[in-house]
Amino acid sequence: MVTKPIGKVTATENKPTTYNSIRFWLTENEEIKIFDVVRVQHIKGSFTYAIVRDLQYITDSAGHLANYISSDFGDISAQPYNKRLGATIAEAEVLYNSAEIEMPLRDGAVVETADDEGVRKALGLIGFKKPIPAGYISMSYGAEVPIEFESNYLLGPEGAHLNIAGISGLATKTSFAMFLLNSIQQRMGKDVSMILFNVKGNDLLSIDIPSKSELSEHRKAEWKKCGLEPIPFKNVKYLYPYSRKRESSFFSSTAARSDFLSKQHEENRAFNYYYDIEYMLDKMNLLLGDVDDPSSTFESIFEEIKNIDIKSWEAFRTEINNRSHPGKRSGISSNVQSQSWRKFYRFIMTRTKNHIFDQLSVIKDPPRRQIVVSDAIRKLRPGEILVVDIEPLPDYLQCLVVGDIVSTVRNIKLGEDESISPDDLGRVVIFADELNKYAPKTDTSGRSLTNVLLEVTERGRSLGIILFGAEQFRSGIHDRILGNCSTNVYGRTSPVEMSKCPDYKYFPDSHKATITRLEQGSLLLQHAVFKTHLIKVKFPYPCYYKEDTSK
Amino acid sequence: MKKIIDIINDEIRDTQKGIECLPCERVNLDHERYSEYKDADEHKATDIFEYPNPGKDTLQTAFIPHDIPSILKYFLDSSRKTYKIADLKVKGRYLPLVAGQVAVGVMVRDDNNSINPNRRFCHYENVIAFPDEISNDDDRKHLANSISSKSSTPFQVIIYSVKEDRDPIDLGVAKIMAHMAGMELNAVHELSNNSLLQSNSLLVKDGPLRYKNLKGHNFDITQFRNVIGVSKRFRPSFTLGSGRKKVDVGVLTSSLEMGERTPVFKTEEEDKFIGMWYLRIRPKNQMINQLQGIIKVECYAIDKIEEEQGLNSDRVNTISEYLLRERNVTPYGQDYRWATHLYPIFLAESYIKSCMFSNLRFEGLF
Repeated sequence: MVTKPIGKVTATENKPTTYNSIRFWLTENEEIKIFDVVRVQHIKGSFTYAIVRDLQYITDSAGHLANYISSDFGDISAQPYNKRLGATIAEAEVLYNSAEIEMPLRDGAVVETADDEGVRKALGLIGFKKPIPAGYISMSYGAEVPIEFESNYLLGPEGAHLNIAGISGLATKTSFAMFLLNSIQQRMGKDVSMILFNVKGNDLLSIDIPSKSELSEHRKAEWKKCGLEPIPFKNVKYLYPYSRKRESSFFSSTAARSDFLSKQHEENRAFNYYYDIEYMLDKMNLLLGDVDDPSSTFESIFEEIKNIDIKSWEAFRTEINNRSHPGKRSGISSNVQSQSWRKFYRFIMTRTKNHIFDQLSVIKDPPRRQIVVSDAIRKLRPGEILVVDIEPLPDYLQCLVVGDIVSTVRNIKLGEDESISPDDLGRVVIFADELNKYAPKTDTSGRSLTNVLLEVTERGRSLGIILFGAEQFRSGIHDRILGNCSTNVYGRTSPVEMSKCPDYKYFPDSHKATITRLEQGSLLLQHAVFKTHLIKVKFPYPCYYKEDTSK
Repeated sequence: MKKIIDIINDEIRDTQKGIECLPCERVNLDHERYSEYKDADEHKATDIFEYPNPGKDTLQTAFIPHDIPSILKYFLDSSRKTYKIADLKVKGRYLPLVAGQVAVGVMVRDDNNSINPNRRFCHYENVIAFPDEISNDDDRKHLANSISSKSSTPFQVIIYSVKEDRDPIDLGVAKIMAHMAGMELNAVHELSNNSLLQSNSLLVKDGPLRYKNLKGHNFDITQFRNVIGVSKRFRPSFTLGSGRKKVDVGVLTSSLEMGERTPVFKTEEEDKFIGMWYLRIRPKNQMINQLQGIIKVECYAIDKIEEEQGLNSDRVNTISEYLLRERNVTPYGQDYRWATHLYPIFLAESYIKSCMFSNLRFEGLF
């Protein structure tokens, strides 16, 4: 792209240019916007690149009163014949100099629109070993520059984990996550397996099916800009909550479209997960992870029930009931008081009503297609995607399933599961929407799921477990989870959230304003290797089937 | 870079024995003694100088619609900064060396009604005023060349005449101001020679039209046919009229309401006739005193008819109407003369001042 001059650097006594920042005035008819990258002529024939951080229009008016007076002392109909002297002043953050000169830019240096190659160098997008497309920057002067993440910093081992925050309903958080996962599959499909949790309707239950209607040329072009093919995901398997109701399609409790569900089951790509009692005895801590247990009596109960030899949920409930009545405890050795067993019994009775708590069916026809979650994980291979539908489950069961899956992956990666090699899964990306449910900031009790997620984010980059989390409010997420994310994505949010969350505190005012008015399909990226704090990008609309797909 | 005092000393030692340039505390001389109003001079204005004679003291000026292009196209302002930068020990005298930066700026109103500098007619000069103890023309040129080349900042050397009863610093400053007036004349000369000044593209000059004692300058009054001078301030005790009709300007103008003007009065500058009138461009009830918001306008009488009969009323009205429309926007808050400071002139002043060295930088040259 041909560059053209748009203004000149201005350095004053009060506002000098620095190693890090410049200000420049714009010619009258020039238009730029925040996050545009500009090029500035510097000494020794070099060019300095800077990203626009703020725009101001200044006039020579000494104050509002001067303007009031200039309108014939407050006459709205008065039209001042002379236009007041004014200019747009842009403030920009210096990113890079082509000759690595660190001297501040000089007053009067000519500012130009930037060339694509220079923009990529300036943003630190050059020299990636495994670039993963992450969208594109669209400058006001027409340039569009693809943006990539460095795989080593997104999927480990140098850095890992991604967090996306933003209010719902703008088709941004999940859409970006799905775009990025698609990008990973297209670029690193052979090395990475993925586990996705479906938490909203049937959002992610048809990600391998092409869009209802063909993508418009504009949307296809957006994919091409990023160097990707506009195709849906490949090699996708689905896990649905098991349901005993026969009328429910294929014993799946799901909001998935029945024809899609039928096809998935027929192609042997869909299964129904369930929890039998033997398996569940080890997972009780995840089922009751959100229950306050200040005296750790539940901890003792969890240890005791591991030793109970029991074959059915019914028998288990009876056994717990017996322990909760002093009169029925003869022959049962327990250090836990019957009062605590009673409390435990009440929770068990309410929390294990769901159909997923069942035993393996012995009926062959019609097939129940039951599977224990950990078995489904063990069968996962690089290049495959496992979508786990948890939308029909209440919150506490969603936590159980998420916790079960994450701890299963962790155990495999730590080599604690002897039935599978840690490398068999490849790098595992786990995408969890509504992360605030699983790792809330307010959790100080050290509940099991939060602990598992903390461990994953702190050790995951070297183990190869990568957490992609999304939530409405960053302020609701555990600090250590956020702190371990080397990539952060900021979608539109409210000023209230920005005032609550310390992560926004150091954003310049212009960025805060930008975040409150981000349009659909745009967000701000922060990535470990970018040379600037935030980049505003656009990304292509997902190209898999969605109920509300529009061209 | 060599300091200018050193350069002068080097040159003086070579040319005239016994003269020495001595450093002194550098003082900016631009402080202005307080004066509420001022006129450039004290000429009488006895007669009405307008035809037909309006026969009354106040005349209403029409308000022109916004969409009619202005005939006030060019705006000229000049400015100077003066400094006492050294002392000269010469022939038993101890005289100041006064230096200054002088600039003339011409702004032009374009078709979009934007006011921009026309750099072709904007000029900036650095001058050093030596006392006439060094009056040899060759010496002056030699010094100017030497300073310009060795300090890498071009300077002109001018000479002020020492008078027994006058402060030599004032004389030095006056000489620099006369130099500035000469630059103004040159700018008018250039504009006129380029046929830019027409009846529908007038030049508004900041300040009164008083050019005198301009040796070396060809003052051609016909070039001022389309030039008007607008003063922000005037002396209210200045007397207009004669005999029983004598009245001070302060009295006459204090009765002016928004948009009203006085008749044109005749005054003289050397052998040239000037028509001057006063125009209120701000509502009286918003001003802090009765005389605030009134400008003084001057035009030369160019031809025989004007010299004999005075300025044409229609022309005076037209100029007044366009000047009245210039009242907004204002530099309120930036200049205490805001109520009478026409914005294009304010821009011209800002522009030329922005082209000058800062005091620190200029004083540092010495």
